[in-house]
Amino acid sequence: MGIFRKALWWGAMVGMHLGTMGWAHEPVFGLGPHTLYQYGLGVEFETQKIHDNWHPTMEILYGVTPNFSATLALPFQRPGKAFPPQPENLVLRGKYRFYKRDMPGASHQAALHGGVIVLPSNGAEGGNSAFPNVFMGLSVGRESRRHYGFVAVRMRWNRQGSATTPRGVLKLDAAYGIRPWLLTYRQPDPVFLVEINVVQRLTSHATAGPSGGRNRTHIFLSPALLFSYRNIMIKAGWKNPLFGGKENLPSDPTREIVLGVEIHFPPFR
Amino acid sequence: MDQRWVWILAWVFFLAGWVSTQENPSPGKRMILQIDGLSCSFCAYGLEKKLNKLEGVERLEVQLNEGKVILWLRPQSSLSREELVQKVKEAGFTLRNLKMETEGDSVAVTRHFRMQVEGIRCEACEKTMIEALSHLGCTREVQINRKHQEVSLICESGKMDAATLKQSLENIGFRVKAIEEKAMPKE
Repeated sequence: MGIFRKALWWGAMVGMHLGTMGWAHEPVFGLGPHTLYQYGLGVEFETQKIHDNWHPTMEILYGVTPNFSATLALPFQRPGKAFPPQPENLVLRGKYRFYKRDMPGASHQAALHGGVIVLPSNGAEGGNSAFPNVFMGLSVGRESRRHYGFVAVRMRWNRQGSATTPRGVLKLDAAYGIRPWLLTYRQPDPVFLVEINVVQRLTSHATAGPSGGRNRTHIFLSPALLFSYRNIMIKAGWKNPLFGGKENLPSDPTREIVLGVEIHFPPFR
Repeated sequence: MDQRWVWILAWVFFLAGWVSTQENPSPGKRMILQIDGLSCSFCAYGLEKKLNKLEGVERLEVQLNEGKVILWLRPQSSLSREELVQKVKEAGFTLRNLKMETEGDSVAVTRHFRMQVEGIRCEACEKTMIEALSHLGCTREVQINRKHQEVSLICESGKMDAATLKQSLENIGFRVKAIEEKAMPKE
């Protein structure tokens, strides 16, 4: 049971902090290169269902420059009640858009992502000396009035692997989106997305556990909807295992559902 | 009693009408910004707010499908191009060009463009081209001749120039070999 709980916890952690990084029209499970406008403030409330548990998070986004945004993510709770009730961890992320080419009604962009997952040193779970963990990523995208296309790669390094904790997680994502109706600025704006997400959990033989002590690859197909009206966006996504993840091992990623709302506020200056 | 309600309603409608009239400023200066990268309303929100905060801007309208923002300026406004470029950049977009107009002025001429374009191979290419042109506000009388690889269209004067037109088509994979531009009287 302990191992199962740990697996749930890590599944949630990996899913929440690597999986969902919402900024405007971007993949729900993948990454996108869009950054928030300078001095802009955004808040995102999101809940993700993994293994029958909902994991709500809140994210605060800030546009430091037109090409650099920072995010603070705070999970509301952990699965189970074996941990202290206060916010146990937080994630600091940054996104730097190093390439942007605008054209009428469209743009090409690329961005570097990086972040640190911070946990306290006195948690009840043990093994906390292994924190903080870090991740980095690269995303490339094309946005236009009608079509969206994104490709991203990212890697998370855990400082210490264990029976249920992979040493690292490598993710590859590709997404295509379409806006079926070209409506005006003050009309609701639905965009439909389909994503392919590849997840590889890197597990060493030395730390092998129930997952079999080998690198495990999972592929997901994830339809999603982004529905925005001016500065409010509602997002929903459903991540389905296509390959792997069906062995019912506790450490396997499984079907996930994401529901969220993102609100952008006027710039401070 | 009934009559009193009629009077009250009449006043309400009158006041509503008066307020809506007040929202439309009397004829004044307006600025038309052609902005690149405008693809969604959620992304354009920051741009709207940034431009709205500029001193001298009375109101604005974002035209997503045309890639334009129209600013209505107060008479004493002294907005500079640099300020606008800066604000558009901060919002994450690129200002392609801007044009000052006095509301009420009629545009004297329209322009007829005729282009020799390489790469129009199928119906889908034509659709892509028409869509790209629609973002520029140049959808009037677009004619594509696939056999002769020719495109002709009509634009209102000042809203388009040959270089912009060429760039927008080349951005979506066509090669513009020649452009012929002709001013013609507005109907």
